[in-house]
Amino acid sequence: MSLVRDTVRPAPLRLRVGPAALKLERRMAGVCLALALGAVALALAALCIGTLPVTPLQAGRALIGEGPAAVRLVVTEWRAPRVAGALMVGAALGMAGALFQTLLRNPLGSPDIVGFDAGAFSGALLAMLAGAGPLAVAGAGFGGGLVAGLAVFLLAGAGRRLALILTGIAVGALFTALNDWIILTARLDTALAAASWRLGSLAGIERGRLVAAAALLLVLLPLGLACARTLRALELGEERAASLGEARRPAWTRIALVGLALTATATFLAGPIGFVALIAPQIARSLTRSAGLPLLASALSGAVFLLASDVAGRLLFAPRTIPAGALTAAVGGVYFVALLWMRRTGGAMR
Amino acid sequence: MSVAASATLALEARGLVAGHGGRAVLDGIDIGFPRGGFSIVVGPNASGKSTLLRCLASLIRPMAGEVRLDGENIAGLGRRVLARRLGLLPQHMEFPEGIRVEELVGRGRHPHQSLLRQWSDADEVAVTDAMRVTGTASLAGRPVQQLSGGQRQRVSIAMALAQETPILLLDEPTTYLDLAHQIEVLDLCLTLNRLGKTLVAVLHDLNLACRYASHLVAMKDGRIAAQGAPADIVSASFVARVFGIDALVLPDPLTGTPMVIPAAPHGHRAG
Repeated sequence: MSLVRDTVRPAPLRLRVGPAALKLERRMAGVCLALALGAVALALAALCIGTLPVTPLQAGRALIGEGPAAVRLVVTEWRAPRVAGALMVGAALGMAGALFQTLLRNPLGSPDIVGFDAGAFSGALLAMLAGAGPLAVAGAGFGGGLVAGLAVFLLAGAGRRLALILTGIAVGALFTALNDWIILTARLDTALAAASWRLGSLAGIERGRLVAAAALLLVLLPLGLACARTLRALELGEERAASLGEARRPAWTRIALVGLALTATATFLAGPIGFVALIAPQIARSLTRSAGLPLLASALSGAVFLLASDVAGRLLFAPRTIPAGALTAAVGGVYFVALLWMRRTGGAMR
Repeated sequence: MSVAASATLALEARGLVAGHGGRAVLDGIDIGFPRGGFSIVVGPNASGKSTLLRCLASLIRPMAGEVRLDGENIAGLGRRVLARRLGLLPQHMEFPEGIRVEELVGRGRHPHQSLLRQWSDADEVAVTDAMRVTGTASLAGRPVQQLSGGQRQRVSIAMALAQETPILLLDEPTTYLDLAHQIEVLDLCLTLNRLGKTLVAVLHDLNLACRYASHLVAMKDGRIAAQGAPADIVSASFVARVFGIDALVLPDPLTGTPMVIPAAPHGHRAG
């Protein structure tokens, strides 16, 4: 970073609406706006690109129910749910990642690290064994993840960061052992369906599930944003946070519950999609150059990252598609190697 | 306590028993900290100084007894209400990566803000004042990580000032600092005290404590060994009783406050 950038900064924006008052860094506002516009542009592109290319105008007409039946089918039944799913899952995971990483003060502190995904998989597997339909499997994944996550938080106790990470590894290992055992003893078709669920996929999300998840996120995303004040205090250490008025136990409980619920909602839509929760908050921070992980920017960059991964997965080896979860995992692997490399060479990517 | 006593005492502990993991470190302490005073708590390691400070800050719940703030039991005050009346500079503070001085100081405004009203003119004034008093205004745009230990401590104090509490607790504010910066931080504390802030600090250095304290509290084995103005309580027998060493106590040639000189080690006795 240059010295000029360190010392000369534009004045923050002051917003006042009635009794509400907000201070906003210009860079933060700009980055959020750019990410939101990027998400819209990417969504439009995702509706148009594919084996049946359509123009943005045709796509727009199809969305309001006009135009040829084939175009309407492709755009509204195949592509639109996928785009909406990617945006919702990405936003939920991005925000959940920022919540967990700040809570655990650790860039590896994502919901998949605290045993969430293994628990979700157990739930989904049990539902598949019972012969349940996709909606019930998704619901069981939602429940299984919540059970695992809550178990970890209850066993470790509020405020004990290292204990929480270790408990997460232990509980995750238990659920993984259970999952392996179920798959080994299951019938071949169930095992195959399970393997595909486990990768996470944005294909074939039914409208009912989208609506349910959208309703959940309409509550959860604002609740997550409302945690920001508490997070900013917790970043200063627990004693300082307590002396600023944020007691440890209620703060941890609130943030962990919102983070777990966001992750569960994402899993309900698309199964476990790895690495978005790890990477999105870090992308958001390096773009905004903020102190701490910015929640809104994390959600937006999660949405853009997952949608971009899904579009890339559809295009790279067309007509074959790669599940978005596989692509985010691949990008995640590269990201971690880069992270370690930059740290080793003393770079700023942290 | 009588009404008169709670009018002069900003903070007091009554029959305080507290500790960690079920083991009592503080053994039924009664102590008062005068309003407008600069109280300094000294004592050997494991004497319970930090535990006392943590109780005063309501970071740990007493096993018995109570802490009173302006005569009210703090257990009955909400955390947010408490945070507007009592500030704490902990020994260990974490700084979020890349945070700049001005933003850090602004975070001291937390208890005065709400979800809706996240920044006001009062916040702006408090932050500017805190940085001016602590001499950190010129550092406003600098990342905290790049500051020296002494600068960082001044910035931390600025953040505590921005909280605008009448009482400020400081847990070993001079640890890890070299002598020049220890003096700088304590001079700053004295300035704050003269501006009207009630200070309660835990300090290791007995001589510095004697120089700066208006009210000295000595602890030993979880009890109050002595309290009062340094000149009234610090003597050779006091040092022997509290710290277990032989020492010569002379008036400080510059300030007249007691100056403790440990007895020369064996083999180095002068004439």
